[in-house]
Amino acid sequence: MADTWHRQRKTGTVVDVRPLTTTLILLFSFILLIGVLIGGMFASVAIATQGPMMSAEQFLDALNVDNGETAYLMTAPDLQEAQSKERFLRELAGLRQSQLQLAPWSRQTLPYRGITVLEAFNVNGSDTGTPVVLEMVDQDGWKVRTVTDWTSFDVGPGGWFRKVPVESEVRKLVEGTLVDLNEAVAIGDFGEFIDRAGELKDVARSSFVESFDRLVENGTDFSGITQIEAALKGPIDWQIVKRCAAFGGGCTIRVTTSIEVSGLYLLDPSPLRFTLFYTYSHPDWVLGCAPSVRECVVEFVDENQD
Amino acid sequence: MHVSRLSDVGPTLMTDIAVNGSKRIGPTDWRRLRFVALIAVYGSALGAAAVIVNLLSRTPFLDEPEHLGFGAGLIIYGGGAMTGIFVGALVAAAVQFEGHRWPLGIRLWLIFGLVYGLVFALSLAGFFAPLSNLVLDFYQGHLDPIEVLQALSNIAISWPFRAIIDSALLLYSAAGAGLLFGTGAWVIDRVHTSTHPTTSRYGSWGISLLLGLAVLFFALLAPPTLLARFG
Repeated sequence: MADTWHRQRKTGTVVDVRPLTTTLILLFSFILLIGVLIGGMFASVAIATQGPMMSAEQFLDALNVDNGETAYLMTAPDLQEAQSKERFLRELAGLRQSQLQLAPWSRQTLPYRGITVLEAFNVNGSDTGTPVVLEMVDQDGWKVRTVTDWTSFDVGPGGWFRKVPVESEVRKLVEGTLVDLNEAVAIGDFGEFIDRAGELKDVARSSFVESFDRLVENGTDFSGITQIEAALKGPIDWQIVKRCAAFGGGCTIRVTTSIEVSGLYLLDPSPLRFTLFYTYSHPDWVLGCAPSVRECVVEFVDENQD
Repeated sequence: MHVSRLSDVGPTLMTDIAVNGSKRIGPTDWRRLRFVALIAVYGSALGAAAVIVNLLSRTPFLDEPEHLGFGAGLIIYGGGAMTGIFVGALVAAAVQFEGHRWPLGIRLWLIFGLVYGLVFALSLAGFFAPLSNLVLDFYQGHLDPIEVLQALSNIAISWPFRAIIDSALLLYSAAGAGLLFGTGAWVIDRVHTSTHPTTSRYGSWGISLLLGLAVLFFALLAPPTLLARFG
């Protein structure tokens, strides 16, 4: 560059630098434009999510101190219409000891069609890092329309968490199933049980019908289960399926989206043993017996054999 | 750039013209810039129309083809318009590079139309379509700003591969747009090079806007099932 300049001085020729200047100006303008666009993108998100984030933080603060009732008051009318306070609190019980914290504003997204979706994370316990999604709507101030885990996203207003339900909820599910079953056994109609319980179609095709037939043959009423508490076998968790290929081809272990519940009701004269599966079908857990993969069994234990 | 007469050039702004080897501060050729702008305007309408037709033609079997909503349409069809501006201006600038002062023939313009179609398909598939999809995802709240930056860097890296692979889906629509481009640009060129100053200056804008709006309105208002056959 310097050599060129000296040569120009000696020869007296002048090189017009304006094309270079123009190129630099254009380049600078282009970089400036890109910078302004990127800055505008960040600024638009920061401005658009400011209000929703403040409200969401207050909501999460209430949840983090286990004050579900206060949190429910901060929810939108849509949520309160779709979900009672009791059900909301029951769903939140699935979060157990979670401590939720909003992701920074730079990781949030623009509102769309009046709904701002915010992302939060669990910062406590074994579920650390698990994302939770909040939908905020502006209805007399920003309010929570949905609070869900990532897998339940987009299921509509409410607090929905597809987690293993707490033990008290599982006990209610089992009791409800067995009471319905007992009534169907009394009239000897398995179809009645299927209709009443509104279960998945697979239940009718599973071998659960064989358990039903045996109970009908036995003819014993087991409505007494409502008076006693079942002894559950092991902790309640997602069903684990182990499949092995033929000729030593290796095994795979898969965690399904159903829960397996086994236990015993100590009825007189024979205890009632059960193995039941429940699958989440929004918004409830339903009996999820299925041929070969989730075989449900309800039977009286023959103590002479055991 | 060769200038035969000083009367050929317009008012001074920024372009330097070397005459007989000596340096002289020269005028900006507004006439040529106007031609580039005219073709870019027509090219943008064709670009938007090509994207509309292409998207309709890709409607899955048994589904009813329909236009995008206003917001999504503005962004996605706008991507096509931006591509059209870019490619149209590029072709017009290349045509003007040799500094012709007379209208080119229809055959030559049809060849330029093919060039427009090819470059349009490549630049839309490689850069503008991924960019407009990205903007749409951001606008609809699917991506946060950090994810947008990551996606932008991905586009910057992968554009040559996308251009080659994804342009295959655009070939029919781009070929149609190229044909229309060649024909329309030939008409604009003839009006623009008219010896009548008012026709050249204002009539060229009229014809460019008229052709562009005709193409755009046809793409927006014609039955989607009919348009889907052209893609």
